[in-house]
Amino acid sequence: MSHPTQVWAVFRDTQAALAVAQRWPDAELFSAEPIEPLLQIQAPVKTRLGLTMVAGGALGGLLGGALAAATGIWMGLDVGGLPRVPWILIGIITFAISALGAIAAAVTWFLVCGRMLRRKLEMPEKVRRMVADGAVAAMVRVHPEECDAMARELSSAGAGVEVIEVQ
Amino acid sequence: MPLNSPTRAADALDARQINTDLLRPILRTTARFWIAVGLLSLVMAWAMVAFSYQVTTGLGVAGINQRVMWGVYIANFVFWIGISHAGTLISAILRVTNTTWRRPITRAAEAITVFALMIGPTFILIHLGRVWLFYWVVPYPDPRYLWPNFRSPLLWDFSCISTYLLGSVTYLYLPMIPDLALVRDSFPNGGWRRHLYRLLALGWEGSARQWALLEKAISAMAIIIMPLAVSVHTVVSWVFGMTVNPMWHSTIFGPYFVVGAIFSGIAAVIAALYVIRRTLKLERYLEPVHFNNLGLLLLVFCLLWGYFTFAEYLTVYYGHEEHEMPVFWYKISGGLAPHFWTMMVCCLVIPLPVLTFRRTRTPFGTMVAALLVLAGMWLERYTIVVGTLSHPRLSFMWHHYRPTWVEWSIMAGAFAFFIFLYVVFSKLFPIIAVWEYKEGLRLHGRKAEAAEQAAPSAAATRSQVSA
Repeated sequence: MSHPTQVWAVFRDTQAALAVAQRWPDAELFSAEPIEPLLQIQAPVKTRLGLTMVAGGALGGLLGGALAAATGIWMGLDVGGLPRVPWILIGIITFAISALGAIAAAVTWFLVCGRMLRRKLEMPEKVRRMVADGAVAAMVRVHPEECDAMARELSSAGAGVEVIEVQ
Repeated sequence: MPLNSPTRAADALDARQINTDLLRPILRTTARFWIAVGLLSLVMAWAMVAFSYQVTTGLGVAGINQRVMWGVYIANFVFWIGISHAGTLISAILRVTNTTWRRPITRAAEAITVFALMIGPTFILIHLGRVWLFYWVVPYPDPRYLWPNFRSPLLWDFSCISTYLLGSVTYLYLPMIPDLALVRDSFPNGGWRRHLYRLLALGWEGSARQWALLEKAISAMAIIIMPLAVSVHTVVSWVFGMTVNPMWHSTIFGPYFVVGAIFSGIAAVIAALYVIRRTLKLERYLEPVHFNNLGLLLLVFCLLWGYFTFAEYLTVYYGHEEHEMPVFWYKISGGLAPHFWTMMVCCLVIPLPVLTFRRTRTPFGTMVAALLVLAGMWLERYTIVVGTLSHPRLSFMWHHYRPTWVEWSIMAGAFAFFIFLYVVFSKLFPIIAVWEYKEGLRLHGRKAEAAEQAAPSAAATRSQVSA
């Protein structure tokens, strides 16, 4: 269960921020560019992106193929010496709509899993500006009474320059 | 410093300096920007006059006629779809193969794709004549019993290009999100643009989880976009290849068009990067090594294109089929000979030596080669479209085609619109991916550190061995 108070610490030194991530596994770290060792510590181990895309692609392919096949049957397309449902030709539409489905699934997956659609950002504006300038921010959720102790620990964790409490 | 080290000029840069350099064009608006916008707007306005004239008078004001029913408009359509292979395909290939020097060039290339895909299909609408009836191609219940035929290559085109456009917009947008957040956070007092960046950056904060998800999403998009891009130009080639017209009905048209598309796409990227480098003063970021490597890529596709062209024409000549030879000779020594041989000079004769020698494979040299390739590839599309239609199988149907001022004006307007979109995009958004660039520097720094650490231990091992 997450605690109500956030303690934000900003580090100019990436190594110090990495040490925080190792010491407090629940701490969330933020940066303006991906930091590979950090991703290894904190990144989600398992995602279902592949499955989501296959599902989206299959749905799109089914819809595209069905639309093209139904057109041939309903409209009675007996032309060009081809059957009403020439699968080899329908395959192209199926492929295109299938790719569309997979793309839509991937985008939806990213928006939902990355919590991209929220309106209010957690990170205080002051911290965001420092992160934009190259700092790494760490956020730890604690009980209100533990804030001071955590702030001291984060400060002593190495080059902690800013501690902000957000209720 | 070796040429293959893309970060030699940027070694001493820190995050703040990179932000300042790469976000400068967004903050400062120069007089040159307004002059460019003004001139481009004039050309676009003239094109609108020409288009209005065509709409009110009829398609007859264009040079196309009953026999040669495809002309400059369709050549432009094929050309722009080819250019659209610039970004997404090149960027996706370089991303999937984890090519490190790609970082400063990917966004500029991806933007080309999106804008080219917006302009190319517009020529189909212009070519329709009665553009307001475009919605007839969309499947919907209709009392007139109209329904698109999904077996038609034209419908394949519609489906593949629409999907490719959506995919390309997504592929451009996803890697832009962290940079949009960077602009949002760096300049909180940016007026209306602050709202724009806040809106576009969505809920991005740069947490490790978001980074991991974004990288996965980008990689997945890169994998999807590659077959999609190949399918788009293959399908465009099938619009010609599926007919039984002389010199169109060819099995190599698919790969020939794809190679030509990537060829012109790389050329477009080089030309755009050169202009960006000079006008936005980004010489520290777009280094000679990028032009050298893109020049090598262009050289590879120059040779491939030459090979396909030779194979195509040799097969026709050797077969000596009676309906194909008039088209062949019309291109080689007839009315289209100036176009054909200019194409050969622009696509092969000049770029080949310029790109082969390192001495000439400079930013300026590759830019000159790229501009020639673009001109040559436009001529190639023109000779393919017009050559066959002016000499169909039945000789009594032979007819000439000469484009009119309306077609040239609309074409000029399309080029101006493309440049306009690009100029506005580079004014509103970072044209070089800031986070990717920083990530590259960080990785480069770690590699250098590892090499420094490895060097003394290797020396010690060597001395032990020799002892």
